[in-house]
Order: sequence, then structure tokens, then C-alpha cells
Amino acid sequence: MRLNSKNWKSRLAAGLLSGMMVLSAGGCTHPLERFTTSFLDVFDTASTIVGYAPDQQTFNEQSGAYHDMLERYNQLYDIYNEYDGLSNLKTINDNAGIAPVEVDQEIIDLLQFGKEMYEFSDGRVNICFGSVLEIWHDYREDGLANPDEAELPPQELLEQAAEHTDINALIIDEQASTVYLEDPEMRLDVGAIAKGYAVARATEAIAETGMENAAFSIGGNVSAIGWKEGKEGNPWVIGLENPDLTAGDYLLTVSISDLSLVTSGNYQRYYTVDGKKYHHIIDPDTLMPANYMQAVSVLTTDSGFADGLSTMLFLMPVEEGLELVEEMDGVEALWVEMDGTVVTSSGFDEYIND
Amino acid sequence: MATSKTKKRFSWLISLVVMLAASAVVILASDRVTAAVYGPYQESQPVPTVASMEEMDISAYPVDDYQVEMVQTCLDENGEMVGYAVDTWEYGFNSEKPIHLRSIISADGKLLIGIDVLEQHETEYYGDQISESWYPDRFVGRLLPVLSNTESGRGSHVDAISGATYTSNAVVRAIDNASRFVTEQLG
Repeated sequence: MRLNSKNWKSRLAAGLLSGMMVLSAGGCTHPLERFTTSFLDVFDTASTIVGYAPDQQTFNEQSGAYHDMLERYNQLYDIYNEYDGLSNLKTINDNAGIAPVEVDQEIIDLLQFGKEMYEFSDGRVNICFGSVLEIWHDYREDGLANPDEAELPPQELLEQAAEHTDINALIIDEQASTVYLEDPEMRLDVGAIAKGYAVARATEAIAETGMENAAFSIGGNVSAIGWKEGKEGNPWVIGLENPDLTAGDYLLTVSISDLSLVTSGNYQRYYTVDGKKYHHIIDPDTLMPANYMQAVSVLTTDSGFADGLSTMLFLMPVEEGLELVEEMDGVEALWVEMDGTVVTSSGFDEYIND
Repeated sequence: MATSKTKKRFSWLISLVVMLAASAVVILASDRVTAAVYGPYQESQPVPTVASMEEMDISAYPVDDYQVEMVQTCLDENGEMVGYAVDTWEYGFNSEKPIHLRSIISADGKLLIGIDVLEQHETEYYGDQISESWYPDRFVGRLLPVLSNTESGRGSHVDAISGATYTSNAVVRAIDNASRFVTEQLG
């Protein structure tokens, strides 16, 4: 059993052995500890970061950097608030039909991604759908504040607004770094993609701070990088929320590494009119909330694509969505139908824990 | 020819089965390790019984900074002080009428003994949720500060939750305000 350099098996074994020694030596010199932080000030939701770092200070610096990136994206992609010295999506909306607005590259990139998502989804995911969503938003807010007087938006009003949702009226000038809405009645609303997109960019960039093993949950939108405890092969365990929240438990858990899991559902943001619930994901064809399912979760690497795709799948029948996902590489999905039945794409099950 | 091909395919299958079995063992083992290390981390702690309460004079404290409305000292059956009942308010979905919440916190500010929703005018869904007994019960025996409602309330080694976007949790903010008041002002 002399070591023969031409024998690939021996070389492989030797390689593996030395690799293991390096790994275990590394593990001894830098024991990693688990840290957690949470914040409530970005994307109007609760966020938690779990990570493994050599010490608290390192984790604080890394998670702080992540938070600051999200905070910046949140301000840039905000359609409701203005910030000093910052041109954001509200600035673009306010200048619809008036003038092009010079913006930072992060906005251009998001809007280009929005146009791609529009093409990919045959118009189901439309970042220029703001005029319609604004009406639903106002009626929902009023309905939540005064449940007894809650009303549905009149169909006529929605149809008028839907006249101003043509994505070709969104003019992006890459050279001049400007964005212009040609239609004065048109409004951007990036709710279907912005959070996932921001999480994807922040998760990519955080590697520069040395953060290698972390799970980010930004309002139910989860991205996990590296491994739990920093131990290769030890995946992060992510719970899938049960759409029936009173069940008080997860639907199931999945094990992932270097993947994102994004869920679209009807059970968190909605209001009630005459005893019937109306949620926030609006079908561009009917201008009413989509009613194909309770929730759909998408598992793929890019959190921005996962976000857009989960909205797209929420807006189509389960069977149709299943066909679409089966045709795609590197994408898996899980649906919870109206009656609670769980449907998964063929590759999803291998991530599910017993 | 045919037999050797079948054999080849068969041996390939055997090695696959062996590999799968090996990885299953690895996965199961790693699962057990994480459960052992992180299980107790989120497990609920035993809490003392609160037999009576006495209102405290808090006029000298900066209560507005913490949205604190009332504080009572909590005593057990023997009259021993076990903690504080801190009433705080916080806005939830209803931007006009806040939630009023009582958090009972150990004297050292480290343990949440319980919460009680005193008053709320929330939307049907969120209102129903926080008024049900299972909701406040999830917070009993939790270590402070409470990080997020989903992570704290569930005793497992799950690292994060994927779900539909939920709005910032008013109850968790109200508890954290109460806990900060105890540690920063009374502690």
C-alpha cells in the first residue's frame, strides 16, 4: 500500500485528510460563538440576524454594517417618505410627468431588475402598478383604523388607475443616471421586489466584512450564508411559518446553506369588509386580491428573484406555477393551498427536515 | 454484455445507497449536536408566583422616555419582592389608539415572568391574536430582551422563520421598553 502519486484515490484521500486537518486546526484556533441581533426600523418589519463570529464586537460590526446597508436601501426605495439630501422613489413619483430625476445607481439597478421581472412574469409583477396599489393601500389603512366603516375600492376607480400602469412609460437613462415617469398619473411601487433585492445585495456585500456564516430574516424573508456554527456541512434550519398563525407552530423546517427562502402570503397584511378578508397582493387582471392559495415559498439563491417570483406564483394557479418551477433550474417552491394542502416542486422535499 | 452492464449499474447504486446512509448519519448527528447546544438557549425558564402587587411612586423617573404608565412591585406569598409589573403603551396597527401592555419582569430585569394585554384596539386579526391566551403565554419565562416574537416563543433550534411580511411587532417593543425601564432606571 505504498502511496502512488498516480493513484487518484490515494491522492484524493490524502487531500481530504489534509483538508480535514486544516479545517479542524482552524476550528481550534478560532472558536466561533453564536450571536443574535434584531431591529425594527427597516422595511416596516421585524428583522433578525443570527451569526457566528469570534467575538461580540466582530458580530456587532458585521451586523451593524448589514443593518446600515438595509437602512440605505430602505430610504432609497421608499415611496412614502422623503429624506434630507436623498432622491428616492418618492422623488421620482412626485416628478411624474414633470421632470427626470437624477438618482443613485442602486435605484437604477432595482428598476432595471423590475423591468426584467415584468418581462419574466408576463406583466404579473409590475413595479409601475403604484396607482392601483395606492388606492388599495388607502382603503386598507382606513378600513383598519375604522373597521365598522371599512369599504372596498370602487371598481371604476381601480380601472381608471389601471390605465396608468404601462411599464414603457418608465424611462431609465443609464448614461445620465435619471429616471422619468412619462405618465403624470403613474406611480412606482416596488413592494413585490425591493426588500428581497436589498437583502440580496446586502448579503452579497457583507462578505467583505468577513461575515461568512449568518442567517438574515428580514420580515420573513430569509437568506442564509455559510454554515451553522461555521461548520461546513451543517446547514441552517429555517422554519416555514404556518399560514394558520393560531396553530402556533411551523408548517415544517428546511435545512439550507447559501440559499434564500421568501414567502408571499395572504395572512399577514389584510383588512376585513363585511366579514370577508382582503389582502394586499393584487392581481393586475382583476384588480382584486388574488385567491389561488394561502401562501407560496420560493427557495433559490438570489433573494430578489425569490421575492419577485413568490409574488408572481401567488398570482397564478398552483398547477400553472408548479409547471413553471419544474422547468427552472435552481428554483424550488412550496405552496399552501386554500384548504391547507401543501404542494411542493420535485426538488423541494430534499430540503425538508423530518 | 448485458449482465456486466447491469452489474455496473448495480454497484453504482450500492455506493449511492452507502453514501446516502452516511450522509443521513452525518445530518442526524449534526442535528442532535445543535439541539443539545441550542435547545436550552430558548427554553422557557421557571417563573416565581406573583401573589400581590403594590403601586410604586414613579414621579421621579423619566417615564415618558420609556412610554411607562404605571409600575407595581410584585410580591410572592411570603411577601418577598420578586419583580415589577410595568405598564407601557405602544402603537400597533391602529395609529390612533395604542396597545396598553403589562409586562411582569424579575427584579434584575433579566426574566419575563408574564405579560397581560390590558387594552387594545387592533385590527380584527392582530387583536384576536394578542388577546388569545396562547399569545401572551409564549412570553412566559423568556429571557430578556425579547428579540422577536417568532424567535423567542418557540422552543426549537430553528434559526429563522420565513413567512409573509409581518408589521413591526408592537407587543415586543412594549416589552422591551418595560425591560429597559427596569434595568436602566430601577436596577
